[in-house]
Amino acid sequence: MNTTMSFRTTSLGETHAFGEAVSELMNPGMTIVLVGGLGAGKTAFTQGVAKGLGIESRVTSPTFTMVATYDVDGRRGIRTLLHADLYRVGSGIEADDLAIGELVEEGAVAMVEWGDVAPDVLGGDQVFVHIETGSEDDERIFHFVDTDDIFNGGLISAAFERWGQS
Amino acid sequence: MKLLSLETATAAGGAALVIDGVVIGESMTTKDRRHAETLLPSAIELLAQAGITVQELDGIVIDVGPGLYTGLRVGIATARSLAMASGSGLYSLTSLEVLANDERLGTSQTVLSVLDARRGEVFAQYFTVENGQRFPQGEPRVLLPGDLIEEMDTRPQSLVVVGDGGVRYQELFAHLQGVEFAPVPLFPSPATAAMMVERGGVTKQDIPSDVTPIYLRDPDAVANFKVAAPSRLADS
Repeated sequence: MNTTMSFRTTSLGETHAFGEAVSELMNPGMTIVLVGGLGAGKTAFTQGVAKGLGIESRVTSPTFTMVATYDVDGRRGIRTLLHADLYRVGSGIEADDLAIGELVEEGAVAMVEWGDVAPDVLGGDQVFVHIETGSEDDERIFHFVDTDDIFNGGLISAAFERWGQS
Repeated sequence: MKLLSLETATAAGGAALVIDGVVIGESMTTKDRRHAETLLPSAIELLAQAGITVQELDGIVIDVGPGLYTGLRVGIATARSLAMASGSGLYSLTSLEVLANDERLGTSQTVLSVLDARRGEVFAQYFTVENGQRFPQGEPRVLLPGDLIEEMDTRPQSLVVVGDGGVRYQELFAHLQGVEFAPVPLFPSPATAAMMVERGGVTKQDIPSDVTPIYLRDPDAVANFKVAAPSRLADS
């Protein structure tokens, strides 16, 4: 995609649905770095992705456990979803210790909340998603920054057309 | 000596039981790297098959890396606990030296051990041969495969590359003269590690908690931590 693309949702349900749609374009090894304040919708978006990957268990933010792993049925080679939250991580060593960069190479995809504190210790195939709250209560703007074109540009704009924002 | 050897540093993990220089059994799996779930059961099974208890062991042998973080933690915690509980000695070796000392490689050539470190990097170390014995050259390192090959270009010599890191980046080595790839082993073998202890020369660690993993962290990546990430400060 062009380095940055933006999408807009107007309700929690839509954020979930958007996450589900994004999950369809994820491949093993991919890390989505989620940036946004408390309540921005990082976890809601991840819940959508998890649902899209066929995960039925309840997904909550792993603020204290830091990394949660969920089994995926192997669709498109994905066997695991790693859901991490670096909010409480205090140093680069601590972030490195979570081994997200190594685990994601084992048939996994990763969603990393507050991942912008230590992107260098995460996996190589990274897409940054900055989430902004809009003017309406449940409005959220998702800015995808995909410098290395991890998502296929044309594919993503078509897939997400209904949420597209110029 | 009765030695129980544990291996969790790479994608392949397992255990081996070696008694008086004879490999009684070795159990390895590469499936999904579930070391935490498979390591102890396979160790217990090896002991049960041989009809010996943990207390009868003379030593626990552990690979301390460099290797994958998640595996190393499982292996080292298990080895320390077993050593403490049984009062047997604890012996630690590095993944790269265990790889280089694998019998299948013979001792005629210099070996370059290369393990996949993930995140586009490899762990590497050279081992030369003198009087049929292998000696490490320098310390274990973590580096980009491209940098390793550039360095090999400047000091051409005939050698054998061993390990899953060499295989993963094999095409990068293609232009180098005199470089061979060993088809096996891809990973350090716990039986090899135990045999190295059996032959002597591996120091017994008296304090189990002194045995710690070799992570070889990338200092730049670790230092690049934004304590004051703007988005984080704004909300806390």
